[in-house]
Amino acid sequence: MWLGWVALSLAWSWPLAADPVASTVSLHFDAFPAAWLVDAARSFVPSGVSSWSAWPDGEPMQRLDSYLFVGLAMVLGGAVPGMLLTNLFVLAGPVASAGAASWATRRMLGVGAPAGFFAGVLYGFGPMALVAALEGQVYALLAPWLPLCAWAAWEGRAVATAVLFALALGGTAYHGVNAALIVAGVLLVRAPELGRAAVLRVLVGVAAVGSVYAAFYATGASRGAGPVEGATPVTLLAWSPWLDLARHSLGPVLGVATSAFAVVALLRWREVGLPRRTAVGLFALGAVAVLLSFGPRLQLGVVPGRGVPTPLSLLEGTGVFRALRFPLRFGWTAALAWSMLGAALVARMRRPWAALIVAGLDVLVAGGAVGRLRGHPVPVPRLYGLLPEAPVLELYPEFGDSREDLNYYAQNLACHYQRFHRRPILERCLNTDVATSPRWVAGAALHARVFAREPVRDWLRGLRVGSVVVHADLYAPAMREEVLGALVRELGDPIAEGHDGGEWLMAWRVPT
Amino acid sequence: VSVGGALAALLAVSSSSARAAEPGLVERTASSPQEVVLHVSVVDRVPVGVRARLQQAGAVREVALTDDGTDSADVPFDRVWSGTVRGDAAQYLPIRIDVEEPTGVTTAWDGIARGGLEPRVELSFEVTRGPDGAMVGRRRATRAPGAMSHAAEALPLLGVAVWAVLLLVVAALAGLRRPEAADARDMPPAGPPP
Repeated sequence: MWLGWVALSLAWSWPLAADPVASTVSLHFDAFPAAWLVDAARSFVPSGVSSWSAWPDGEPMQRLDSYLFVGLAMVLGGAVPGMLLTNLFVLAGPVASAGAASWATRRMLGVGAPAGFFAGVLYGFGPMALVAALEGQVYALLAPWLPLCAWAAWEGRAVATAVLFALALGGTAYHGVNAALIVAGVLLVRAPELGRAAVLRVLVGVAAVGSVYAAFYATGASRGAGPVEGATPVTLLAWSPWLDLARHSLGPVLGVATSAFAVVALLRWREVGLPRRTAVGLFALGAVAVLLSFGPRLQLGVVPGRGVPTPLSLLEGTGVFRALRFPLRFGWTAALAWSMLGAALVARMRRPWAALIVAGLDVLVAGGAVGRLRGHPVPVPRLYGLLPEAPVLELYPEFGDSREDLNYYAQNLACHYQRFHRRPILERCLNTDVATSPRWVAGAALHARVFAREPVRDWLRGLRVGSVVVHADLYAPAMREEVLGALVRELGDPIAEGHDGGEWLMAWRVPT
Repeated sequence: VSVGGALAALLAVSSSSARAAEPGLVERTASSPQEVVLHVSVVDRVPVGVRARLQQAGAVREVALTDDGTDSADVPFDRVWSGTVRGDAAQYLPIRIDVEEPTGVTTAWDGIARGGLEPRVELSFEVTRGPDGAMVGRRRATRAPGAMSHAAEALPLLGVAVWAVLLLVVAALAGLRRPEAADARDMPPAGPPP
């Protein structure tokens, strides 16, 4: 059985398995800080602040999204290189998620193996997993906690539910929020069987864990800047090449097979043989999650606009959506609830294995996994090996406002480079608000001085950086000439110029 | 087969790379080739020519795009001008697209696309009129003439819609076994969680 999951995983993310050390299948840029986090994990001990990045302030641990991921990295202690561990999450995460969903479905609904596999495929390898892999948020791929949490709550096991809820929160805060929603939904369905006392015990356990996490979160976790990213009626089901245009792939939430089988299972609930409360409850849980995934505004067109207000719009202006900027991630709950409901229908089908093939086609072809998950090499320019052993200021222009994707890409790529050169950098590597980065502030100030024809040599010495690396490709020709000219005037000839590793770089030593 | 066995199998697949761990700086920096294919769909006008200026890791290359099939990526006379540039793989691709008309040359697009170091990158643009009537270029997801690029972007949506209808029909009409008969066979095995 597990070999089947592994085979599906290899096909799903191919060609990653052929080169898991020095490539990524992520289109977006979040795989870079994930790999960085693995290598930098031990630098957070014991102060909770890493001196690798955001120099000289340091990077606070509260900005982490996945404590489970960094915990594993700390335990491994550098034995597994960052990009390899990141890629192992892509390879093994869906296997664990699918296996858990399959097992939980069989235990909760009393269905057979093919039906369990059906739920496992659609949950573990479905659109939400694909989005996480494309975006590089690999720790989100390890999501067995949600189906196991559903099972524990279903059985009224308070301790197991609390532990699994904690693991979900540790995996990523969004999984924690999804787990809370799932527990609430399952308890509503199962309350008559479990009794008031058992329901109360489960709720108390979850509330205790949630309170501890919330208190920790309030000490300084990162709040994102930027628009709220919700699902739309189109992206709920289908992928379009338009989604990958900017290599930012926030896309389908549910997929077709999950939705179609759940709807039909609800309509045929008598034939399916599920108790009415279970069928309606699972469907309602998925439907609520879908509604939540739209966020405060339901976008009806392809081009984002004001949208139609949803009930969540009442929370606009409260700051909730600074912490919960990606409501489309409620899709995990919808995927679990509806794939379980669909599995109940599959269990009664005369050819359940045919439905399993349908599920495989849905996740591999209809969602676009094959073709969209492509291998990208991740080299490091040779120039970084020539820099003095001192903090590095990466210099490139600020694009548009600070939310422009290119700013984040350059930032995260610099964090990837640092995994090899190991000199402190001014970039923030666990950053969702680039304007707070010491690099952004220093870069903008340096550019302002250059354009005002003010000297920069002493200003750079005051910054206590040892070198400046100019990412020359990113400048418009006239601006590049001005910046390079100023640095030559002030700092002399560059110590290195490189065109390898995918970038045109020039480096200057800052005299001490 | 246990979870541990499955994970061991996964690791075995990547073992050749894993044993060597991540190579050092020098080994990782060899430049690889990259082919950038540009498609420019020109709407509402017939240009004299379309040129592109592209930078790959600092190396500037200019290419005259064609619509007569000269370039292997071009479909002749479909009003989509195409050209291919080959160089070292780049993270960032600064691109400028100039459209030449009898009245002069206009820069329709000037910006940076991400190359992601992929061996082959295909970038499509649409040149049309802005609200003020001036020429304006936009990135498109697919290569297609005129407004067809919008339709081409929607093609996967159409495919998914057909897939959805098919699945709904199949699931709705599928013959189901009686619950009693199925229950006996489908009871989950007892045992601890995985």
